Amino acid sequence: MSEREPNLDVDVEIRDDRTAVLTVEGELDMETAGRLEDLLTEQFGQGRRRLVLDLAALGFMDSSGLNVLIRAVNRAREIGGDLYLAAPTPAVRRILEITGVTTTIPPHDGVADALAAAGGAR
Amino acid sequence: MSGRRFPGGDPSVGLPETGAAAPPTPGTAVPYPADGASADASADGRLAATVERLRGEVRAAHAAAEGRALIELAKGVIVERLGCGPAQAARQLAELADRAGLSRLELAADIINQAARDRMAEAADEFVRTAIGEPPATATAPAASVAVRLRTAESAALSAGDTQAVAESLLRHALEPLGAVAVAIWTTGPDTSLSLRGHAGFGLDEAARWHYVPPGVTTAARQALIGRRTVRYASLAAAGVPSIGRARHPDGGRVVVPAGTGGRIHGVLEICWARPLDPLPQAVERQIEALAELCAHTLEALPEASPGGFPVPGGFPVPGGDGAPALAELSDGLYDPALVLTPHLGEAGELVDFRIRHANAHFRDPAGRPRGSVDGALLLEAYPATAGGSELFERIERVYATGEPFRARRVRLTALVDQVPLASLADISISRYGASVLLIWRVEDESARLASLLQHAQRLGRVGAFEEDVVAGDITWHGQLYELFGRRPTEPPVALRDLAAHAHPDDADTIRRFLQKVLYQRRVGSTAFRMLRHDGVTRHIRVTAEPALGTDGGLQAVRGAYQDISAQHWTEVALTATRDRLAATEEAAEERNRLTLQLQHAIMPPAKPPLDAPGLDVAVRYRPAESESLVGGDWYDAVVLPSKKVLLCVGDVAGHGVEAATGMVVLRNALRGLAVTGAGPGQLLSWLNSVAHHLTAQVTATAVCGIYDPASRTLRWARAGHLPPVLVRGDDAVDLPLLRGLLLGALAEAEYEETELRLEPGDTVLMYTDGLVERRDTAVHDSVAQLLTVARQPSDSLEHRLDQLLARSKSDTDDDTCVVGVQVS
Repeated sequence: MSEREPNLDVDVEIRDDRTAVLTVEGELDMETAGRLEDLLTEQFGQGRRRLVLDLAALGFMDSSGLNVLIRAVNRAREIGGDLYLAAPTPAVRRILEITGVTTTIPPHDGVADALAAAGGAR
Repeated sequence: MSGRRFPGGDPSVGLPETGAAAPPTPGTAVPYPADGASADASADGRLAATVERLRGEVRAAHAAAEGRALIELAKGVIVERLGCGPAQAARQLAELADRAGLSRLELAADIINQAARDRMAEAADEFVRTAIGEPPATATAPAASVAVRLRTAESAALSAGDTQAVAESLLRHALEPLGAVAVAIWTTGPDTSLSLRGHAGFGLDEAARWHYVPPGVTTAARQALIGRRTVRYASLAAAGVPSIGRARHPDGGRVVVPAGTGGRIHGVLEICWARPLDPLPQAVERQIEALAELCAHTLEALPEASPGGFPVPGGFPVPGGDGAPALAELSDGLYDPALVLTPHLGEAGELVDFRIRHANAHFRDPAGRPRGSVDGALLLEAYPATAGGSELFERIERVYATGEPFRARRVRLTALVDQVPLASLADISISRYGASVLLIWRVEDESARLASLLQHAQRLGRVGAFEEDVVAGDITWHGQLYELFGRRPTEPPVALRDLAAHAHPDDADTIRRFLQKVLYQRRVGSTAFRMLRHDGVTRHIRVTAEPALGTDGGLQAVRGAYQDISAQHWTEVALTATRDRLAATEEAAEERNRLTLQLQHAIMPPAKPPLDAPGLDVAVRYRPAESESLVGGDWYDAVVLPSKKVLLCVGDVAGHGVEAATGMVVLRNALRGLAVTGAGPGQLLSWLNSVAHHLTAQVTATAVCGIYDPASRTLRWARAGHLPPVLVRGDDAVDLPLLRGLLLGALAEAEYEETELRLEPGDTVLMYTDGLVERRDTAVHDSVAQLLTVARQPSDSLEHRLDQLLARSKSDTDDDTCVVGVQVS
């Protein structure tokens, strides 16, 4: 197993009963992906289906993290919501591009844009 | 102590009531019972005879002024009882005397005796009864005069202006008839010094010499004071004890009596005989004690004036009453716990207890009660154990009586904590100030700690304390212990020595060692054992015990506690089982990891696969993750299709372990099968996406797929979320464009962009998984750039080139790494 300390902080900000912004900070990998998934699941469980992920401080993401995003977007869309990615760092944006995720979840420049998109979907 | 030894007012010893002598009036306020025992006929008859014989003696006293005083006193009693005036009382007295055939003086003494029911009366009664039993000729005369004599002395003493007059009256009326030649009345100072307050028969010079006896000088009077008991010397000189008047009557006997009221000794009565003294009849001794009590009353009542001009040395300034308020204030300035006690007297005026008048600021109840519940309570009620083995009550009593302070270190105190006596060692100081006693103690730290520990432990429950007196064999059990042992409270407690009989046979040795340590090595011991109860229940018990040693160092008691640790025990058992299961899981995990690795190796041999493709050199490298648990889902494939085209593929299933490897096997085989259809790589990936999405839930994968046509030297390729291949041409290396293509399994349907690359001889195409480039601290773009740099370096063979790539890989994520290289020949 990796000897690295799990390094992920997620701050959940409830915007309204449908919308939450999750600020994801650190590294999203095999060790930490479960935590983000739990928090996303919790938000879905509380009826919030428009979830914005603020990725401005996310420095690294591997396939495990990517899978969390993909499962979340699928779930959100199943229930009429969506997942919005905001301000990914170049490294993360590159991963999103390589994996083609940008084609299905186009990233927004910032949280405000993402929230605007989420509001527009209302 | 005298008050406790002689409970006053035993009704059965009173002078028999004759019909005439002061019959108890209905509604009397005087508390004595009208008793029938003394009124029986035979006693009446004997008394009548005795009274007759006593008459002459009484008449002699009749004229005395003291006799008149007695009559006045009796008149006062009648006034009070009958609610009449003094003149009527006088007539009543005369009438009653006439009817009874008694002199007025005799009747007066009788009435006072009946009314007072005090020590004086008892002494007189007993004297009379003893006299009756003796031959009339020898004993009647002195016996006859007792009642009158004592009352006369009392009356004189009470009317006397000072102690000196009391002494003179006592000698003349009460003691000379007993053969005594002199009497001294001493008072005790707060420093246990003695001052001569009254004397008769010693002479003024001798009295002046003995006006003050400093503390620590052991005289006859001090012996009585310190011993709190009557001391009798047959001969003072023979006993070698100094005292007043010894020079004049060296061989004379002495009787020295502490004079106390309500548990406090105010002074000492010392009676001197000229000749050696034979043992006194009990009745005489009681008479003397009664006189001493009389002295005490007068000493208590009289102002602290010095007789004959002798100065009275230092009295403790006690502002107001018993001095308790001042002491309370003083005690609050102490940093140790302290109690201010004042005597609590019984109905008969004897000391029965002490009232806790004040518990100081640093007071901490050993039983953990709030200060308020102790303040104001009676000492024995608040601390019943003080009367027990600790002898604390006796010590306080003694200090109160004598004024001699008590100081001692490491005194064993016993307090009841939840009904369990808990002994602790403390330094004690007891002093008397005025009529109050100040008790100060300092509990040894260790004892205090243990006490509070025990309190907490017991309250937590499941703990039962015990104390076993090894000497007496007494065992005290906390109520909970019976429950713990499964015994009824009516059954006797189990002694430590019998513990093994209640334990599992396998634990017998453990218990033996425990007992050895506590009982013989006298050290604190603790052990755990399985208790087999009568009811068939087995409990896991921990017992902790501590030996308590006496002042001689011998083992006196063992105290400790049993604790039911069954719950704890089973928790530990469960934990062990969990640990075992965890170990099994770890083993299984290792097994799974080995399986995954074998799977990988079986499907993709690390060595070059057999491949028969004309004009194309193919090389592969597969490097599993160093950590077996991270071995995962990377795969490659290079296979010649039935169309003679070559399928080239590299893929990466997200995640690690068996699930990822299984996903890899599914996707790899699926692709091989699908590729047989002859479809292009875009179409193949689209189908593969459906396979990933539907067949393997929650699995995503990335892949790059190429179909090489040797005939046209063209490579058609597509990618699904995977890094594009690298083309090495000449001394340049470039990564191919990032075609549109989502990773596999993310969506139910996905389309994949496809492109065609025409290769030239010598061209090399590299497909790889991100294990080759993934770095946490470097953007993928930079990692790929680095890879391209390595790829540009000249290499003499494809195999060598792949080795170079792996060797110089900068990946730090310990991921699987797959590299497929094809070179057009």
